Amino acid sequence: MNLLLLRSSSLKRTSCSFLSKSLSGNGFLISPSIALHYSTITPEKNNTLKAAEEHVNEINEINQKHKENHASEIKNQNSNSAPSKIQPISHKQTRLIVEKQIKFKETALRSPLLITLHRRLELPKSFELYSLARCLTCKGRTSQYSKNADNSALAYFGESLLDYYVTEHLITKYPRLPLKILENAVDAYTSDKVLHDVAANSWGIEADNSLPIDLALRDVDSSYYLGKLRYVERHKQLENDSNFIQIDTKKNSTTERNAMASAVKSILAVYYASTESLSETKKFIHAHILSRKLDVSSLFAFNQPTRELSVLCKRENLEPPVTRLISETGRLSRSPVFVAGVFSGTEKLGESYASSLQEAKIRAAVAALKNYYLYSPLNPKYPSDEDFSPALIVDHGDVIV
Amino acid sequence: MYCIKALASPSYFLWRSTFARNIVLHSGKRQPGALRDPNDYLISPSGIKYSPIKEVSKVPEASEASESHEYSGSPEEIQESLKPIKSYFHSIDPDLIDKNQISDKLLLQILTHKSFSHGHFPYSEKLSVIGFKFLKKTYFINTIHQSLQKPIDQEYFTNSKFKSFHNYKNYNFLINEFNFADLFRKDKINFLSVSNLAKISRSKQFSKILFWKPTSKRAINKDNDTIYAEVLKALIGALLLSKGAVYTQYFIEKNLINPLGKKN
Repeated sequence: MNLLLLRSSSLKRTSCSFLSKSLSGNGFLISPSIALHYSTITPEKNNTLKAAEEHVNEINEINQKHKENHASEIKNQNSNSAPSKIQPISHKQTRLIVEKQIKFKETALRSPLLITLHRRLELPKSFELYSLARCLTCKGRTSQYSKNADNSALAYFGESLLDYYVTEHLITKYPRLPLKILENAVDAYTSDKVLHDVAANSWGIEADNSLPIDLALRDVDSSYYLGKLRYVERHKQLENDSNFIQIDTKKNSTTERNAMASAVKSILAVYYASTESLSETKKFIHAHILSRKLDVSSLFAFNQPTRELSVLCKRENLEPPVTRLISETGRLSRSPVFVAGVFSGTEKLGESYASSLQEAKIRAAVAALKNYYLYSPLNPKYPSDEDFSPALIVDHGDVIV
Repeated sequence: MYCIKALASPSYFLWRSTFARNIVLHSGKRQPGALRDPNDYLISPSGIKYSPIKEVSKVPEASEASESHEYSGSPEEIQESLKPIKSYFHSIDPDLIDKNQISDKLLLQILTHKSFSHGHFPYSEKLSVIGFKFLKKTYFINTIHQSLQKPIDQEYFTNSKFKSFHNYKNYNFLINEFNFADLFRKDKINFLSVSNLAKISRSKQFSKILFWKPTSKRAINKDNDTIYAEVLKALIGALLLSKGAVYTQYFIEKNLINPLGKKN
């Protein structure tokens, strides 16, 4: 009954996966010697496998050392003392882990989508393809070759980097921004919706929208699917029907938007890990996320602008604001225009126009407030810059009306 | 007739020329319409007097006339209220105070909560926001750099991180030898919690010199972790904006992360 739900394309894929499984059953594509055969194609693959072999040797050495130490400890201890709780990891277990790791890395090297994404983002060479594959693997979609290798920890780290650098950028550019506006502006750069747009439309990451039955039947780690964003989609609970496969709807499930956002954040994390340079990571964030245009002035909404302006003037030791009519035309006509300005003593704080005197007064107050809040220093230095000086302006806090 | 005589008398004109506005400050229980004496309410819960540092007025003549009731502390009062925090900063880095690298005004702003005097004086809310974000970033970087130690001796295996085989498996998915799974360790997550930051804040004696307004007398004796944690975050934010990221990172690692790491 389930097979009836399959599409023609998925049937092809199923047959391929059966073929690959049958090959692997006969010893193809699994043994390290065959993997080495693939590695002759490019020098990069050679390096990865060499590194992996070194890794195996290293772990073996560690185990040997550990055994020696353990044996010497037992000799030194009295026969009555309690045995050590730590058990050495068996050679078989380490071999299995490293073999799986080699397979995962080798599969990533063959993925066309991963290679093109790597080139498109101009990622450094130290940013390896299997790490990029891990960035695109959300919780619940890890395979038998890469257990515990999802992007949840990476996204957690990347989020902190992104959040800080975006806030630093805004607070340096607009030091007097009220806190609520600042939070909204940070959201306008870092929310899941925006990061989904960056990943899908700017970076060209594709989501793997396969049917659950396809996932069950195909070879999950095939190189093609490794280059796609892999996540467990949140489904609505279907009615109990024996014809449908039951899916765990709560655990490790997410939406495409969240998955895309986590992929972007984890790419930032791996970018830092591979370059080991905060300044390079900052440049990457500025190039890909902070380069987006945001009109901060459109985020403002004042409830009582005239009152807020008078409190602000009092706090800043300025004379109380006075609204004056600067010019007008057509007062008795159907469409009059009044130009009003707000003055503190002889200094003009803001100016605006409207079709009524009251509206012109309010608009002038709004203009004056925006002039104050949107003050931006010329060529400011970020606190994270090496040559940071002088100190930034520290805002007193929001005006409480 | 009496009123006219009074207005026409020379004493009235003398009074007008000397007193622009007669303001009576009320102290004690709140009365509707009466201006409260600032000495009455500008006091911290622990009894320290708040002495705002007033900037030089941009329009001196006008402000004198309109804001004659504005409260401003004397230099002695200001220095007295800043003594505890100055001594703390002096113990960390004497140059910070001796060379005036952090102004008195900023120090007072770190210690002032938004609830104090209805946000009339500079307060620490925004500093704490940027401060916490920087603390989080620095702490995470510090955590993953700690995982860089290579497995070379017995000590590595006795480390709690690799006691179980499950955690060892994570080791095989390091990225450039950084173990990001460490971020999910309980002791690492707890460091950034409000209760832990408040604990540090209390240990540095910030809670005694904090200016805030408790909702009731009972609230003074409660935990108030959020408020105490905010002072610490604001301190980091102020250092970041005045001294830069390099110095602040050094400050966090030396005074906040490493002392706790040694205890653990």
